[in-house]
Amino acid sequence: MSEQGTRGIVTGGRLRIACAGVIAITTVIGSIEDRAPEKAAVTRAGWRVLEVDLHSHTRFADGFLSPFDLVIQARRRGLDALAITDHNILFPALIGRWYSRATGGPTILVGEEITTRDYHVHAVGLSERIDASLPLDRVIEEAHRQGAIMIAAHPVKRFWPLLVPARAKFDATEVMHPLAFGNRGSGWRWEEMREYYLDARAAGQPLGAVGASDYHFFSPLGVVRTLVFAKSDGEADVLDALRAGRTVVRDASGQAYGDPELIAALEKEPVPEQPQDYDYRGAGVLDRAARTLAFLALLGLVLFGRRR
Amino acid sequence: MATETGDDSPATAAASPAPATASAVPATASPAPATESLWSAEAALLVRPFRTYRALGGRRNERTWRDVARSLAIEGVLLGAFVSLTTAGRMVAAHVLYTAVFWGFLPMLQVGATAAAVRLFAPRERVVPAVSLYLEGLGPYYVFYLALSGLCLFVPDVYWFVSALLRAGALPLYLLGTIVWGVVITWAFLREGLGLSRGRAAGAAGVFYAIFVGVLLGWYLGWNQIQPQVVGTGPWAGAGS
Repeated sequence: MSEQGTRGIVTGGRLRIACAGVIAITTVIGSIEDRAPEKAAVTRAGWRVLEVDLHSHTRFADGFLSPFDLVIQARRRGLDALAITDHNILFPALIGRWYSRATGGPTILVGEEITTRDYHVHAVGLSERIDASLPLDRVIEEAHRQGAIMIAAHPVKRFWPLLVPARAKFDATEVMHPLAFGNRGSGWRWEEMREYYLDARAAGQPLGAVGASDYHFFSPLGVVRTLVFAKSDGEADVLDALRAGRTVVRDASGQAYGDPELIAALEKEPVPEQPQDYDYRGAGVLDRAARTLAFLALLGLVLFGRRR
Repeated sequence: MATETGDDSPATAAASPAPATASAVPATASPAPATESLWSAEAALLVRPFRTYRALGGRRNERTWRDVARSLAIEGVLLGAFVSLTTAGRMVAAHVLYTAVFWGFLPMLQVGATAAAVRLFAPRERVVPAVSLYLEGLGPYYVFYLALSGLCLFVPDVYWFVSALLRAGALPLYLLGTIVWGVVITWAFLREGLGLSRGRAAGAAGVFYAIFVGVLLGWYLGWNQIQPQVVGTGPWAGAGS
């Protein structure tokens, strides 16, 4: 159609171009409004208190985000450290650590969730990939040989036949998990994870308490997090703290698990409230307007257009 | 829906097998403004895949790499927007860019699988126009991305709402519906867009989905992400390391 012919009329092609323009503008606004929260270093009982998420996945396994995006999301959610623990692979964590170092992001711990039919465990602080086809004993041995921390991942009853006998060999266990907010029909119950942790203590095999979001997609990275009491937020110091069990985790009701002395220190002087929600809060009127406009423009990008 | 074609010139419109308003314009007449369509091919294919592909297929050889690039750009933006809106609740350039890069294998896989299917089952067909035509049919997936993004942006309690949809099976059912409708549109592309016989279309669809699913599955198998979850530990130890 000629210029003369289309002048003055609304066409799909022009609407699509307009939508693309709105998307570009709202992306600029969104990028400017997207600021990480201000965060002061918190110290308790002589240790720096770090907010850490020890279980997350990328698009190289069954997550949505690239390792780069995960690092950005960790910063946005106010995490001091994040373990990237994809199923049976290590390289996404290495990519994430490289990107975070290059951009001044949070500490990235290189990990892998060794995922099998009979057990799920994650190793944090690895340098080499662990073969998921190995028996559990060999997996734990290999992780410890590399100086990594061995964590029982969501130890629900289904995995107990292997995880209970191996309990003494773990450094920590997930005692809090988003399953606590509802199991979405998966059949996995959070109470069983807590029971695993409490049984270990009762049996004289105290495990470090870990809370993690088991993040795959959407916003809730760090919706469950572990307070780690470390010398600094350096990778080695975080791993040392985890190895020594200097952690505290709270469940959905506020009940604390972990090192009793540190729990007492927190009760005496609590740390600022952690975000425990999945909400998408705008930073202001402009931010909220921009995302609504962006959504409508994206809809327009699909619906309108020149057909040939 | 408006007319079946959006026309650049009366001459090309006359070459089109479809519609009335466009083909009725004589080649020498001055351009008629009202023939430009408001709705995109993606939207039209979403609603009437067979009829729309019949109309688009008649002029498919006018399509060039530019059309392919435009469709890929739209797909990249929508994928990036989906990740950005569901992750950050806003459009963030870094998320859009990184997603387009890290999820770039998906459109590349679509292009490769379409090209292979066309080469094998429609050897006289030019690959670039065929790929361009295929890429117009991704509407169901775009709507799926936007539906989930909208849910994250506008529902007051996202976790409760998503949990309820999952419990009720609505979300998996919607995903299944999206995939099924996507398959129907691909079939319409092969039958009406390229004009293949039923047998050739079936063969082409088979090749397309075998490559698409095969590559995705191959990735996870290659990295040993599936085998230990299905049968526990075993002789595939070391796969992908």
